[in-house]
Amino acid sequence: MRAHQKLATVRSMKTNKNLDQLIPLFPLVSIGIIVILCIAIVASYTNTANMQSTVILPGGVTYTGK
Amino acid sequence: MKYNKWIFPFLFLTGFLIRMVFVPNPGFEADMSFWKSWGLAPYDHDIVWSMFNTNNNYPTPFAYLLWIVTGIYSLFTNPHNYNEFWSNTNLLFLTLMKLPAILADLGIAGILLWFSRLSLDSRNGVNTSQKNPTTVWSIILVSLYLFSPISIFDSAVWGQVDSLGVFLFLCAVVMVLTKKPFLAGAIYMVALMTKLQNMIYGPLFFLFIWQLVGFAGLVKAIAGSTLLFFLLNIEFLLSGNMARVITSLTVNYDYFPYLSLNSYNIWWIIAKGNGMGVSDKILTVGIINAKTMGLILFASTYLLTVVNQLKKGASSFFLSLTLVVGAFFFFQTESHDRYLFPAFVFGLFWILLFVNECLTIKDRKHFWTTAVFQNTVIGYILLTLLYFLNLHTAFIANYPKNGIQALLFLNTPSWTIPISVLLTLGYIGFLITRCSYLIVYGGVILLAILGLNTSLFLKKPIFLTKLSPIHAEQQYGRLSINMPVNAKAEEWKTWDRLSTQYFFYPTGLGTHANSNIIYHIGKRFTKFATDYGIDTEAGNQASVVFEIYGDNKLLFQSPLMKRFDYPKHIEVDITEVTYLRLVVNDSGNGNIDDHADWLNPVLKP
Repeated sequence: MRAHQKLATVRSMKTNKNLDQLIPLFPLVSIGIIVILCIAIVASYTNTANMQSTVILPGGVTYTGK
Repeated sequence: MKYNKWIFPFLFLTGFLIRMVFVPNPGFEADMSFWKSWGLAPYDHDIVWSMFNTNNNYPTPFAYLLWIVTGIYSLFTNPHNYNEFWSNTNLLFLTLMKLPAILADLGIAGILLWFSRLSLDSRNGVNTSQKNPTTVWSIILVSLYLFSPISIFDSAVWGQVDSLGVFLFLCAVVMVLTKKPFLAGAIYMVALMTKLQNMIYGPLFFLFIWQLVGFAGLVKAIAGSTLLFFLLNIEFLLSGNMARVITSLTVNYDYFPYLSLNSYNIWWIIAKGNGMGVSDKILTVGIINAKTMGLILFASTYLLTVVNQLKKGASSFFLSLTLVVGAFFFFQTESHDRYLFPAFVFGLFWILLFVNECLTIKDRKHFWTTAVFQNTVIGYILLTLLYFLNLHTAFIANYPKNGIQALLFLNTPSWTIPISVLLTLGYIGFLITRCSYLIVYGGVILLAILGLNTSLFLKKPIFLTKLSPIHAEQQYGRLSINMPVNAKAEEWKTWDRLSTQYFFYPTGLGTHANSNIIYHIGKRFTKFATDYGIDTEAGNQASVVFEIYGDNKLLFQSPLMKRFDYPKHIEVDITEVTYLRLVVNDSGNGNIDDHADWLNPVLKP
């Protein structure tokens, strides 16, 4: 019984661990990920802006403007 | 220092930013240009005008969303700047158009977060007054959705609005769980009118309301739905154009009559990876064509899920939803690649409830260490990856430049068929292990198959009109079943019953030279007998020749038939014939007045 309780306690402690214990330097890691993603967004928009574009009209019975 | 309170803002922000990285991708360019066309038309004119002057085949209120997107677009730049607006790299439009679905993704994750924090009682739905203390479930569920390649791809890359439809439907479910049936019904109608696929959840949804809120709640929900249906279509109602609304709900039926529209399901396997190249009117078992077989399987599975949901509780509800979406995708012909998307959302809700049901209260505290959780989540992730390959390959089949270049090689039957087999087996395995009454389910399918094949088993002749052609073309009007060709052209309507020189026939095909009608009969018959002649409605200049081909071999050619000739009869041997082709040609003098009928055409087993 005691051993069982001990096991449960250990598991319970694991459940209550904080993010900074689970992921070392959580603030740094999370801010790093967000910064990288922001750079990727800018790069992605720039990349498409520099792409050669094509005018794509819808097919079938449709409307393309006044 | 504790950072636990930052985990969800971090997950949501990351999920949003990842999607924004993909927004500049031109996406599924045909869909994007349709959104532009269907949004610009109400912007320039009005909603009703737009529905009559574009090929918008979505429910009518979806046009409001597109109109709003175009309106916001016009605040920044002129949508009539032709080359800029219609460019496939129009960054402003791509951003504005993909944002609703991306925000819906965040909304779905938000509902998952809310739901995972509730105390669970699967027998009586959800008690919203108690909070579930563990946040681990919430982190797992939110992450499984926000970082799913399926949801990222569909909303941010492709540019589709599947997540918007699912989000609105889930909002309706939240209203049920919080016992607000009127709002539930109202929001359900908004969901249905945004994404027609939500229609298939209707019976399960209203059954859930009945179970959770009672009969009075069901009545309130139906009242809410009805009210919103008319409110959402108020412009059509006031202008006397409700028929267009109904058309928008039915226009997609048989729109693309093929086995599979890039869905990796049973029909993709049967079509050997050429699902969009094979008609779904081919015969499968006996004289049941693929489309009917798909409907039998779907309807039977639907029945099974309704029975399953009679167990009550949110768990059964989400399981039923997942299975119904699966049946819609895997069993029906003409299924689109994206139709499975909602199953991966409903599946997450079900996983939470199912795993908790399987575990004791003590084990729930460390649920992630249990086999039931690990197996379920691994299965979910594997199916997610397989379905992502389906979505991505369907995408690159049309726009290879916009997809992941390293995965282009997957667009061959040698890859798509094994992926289809794995996905389909995954679904069928899930269906079999999670449902009771499987013998009854199999029995219903068998009975339907036997019932529809009675004539074949009893060796009785059947009318050709019981079958649907896999191909039908003619130079005037449309193929008319049991009617002459003009019966459908209202302004010219003369007769509504087939006849040749006033010999009337109840059954047959009304066509017009030059016509070519092909049936797949799959070597199931030995004789084909028919009368033929010019329809009485035709003018005096009619003159045609009737021809019958079996697998492109000429079996019969009629003499020249004219307007006042009596009908003639022919019987040909069609043993071992797979494709029966009926041709009417204009005999070389043009097709004026050539209204030709195949009368009482009969196939004999």
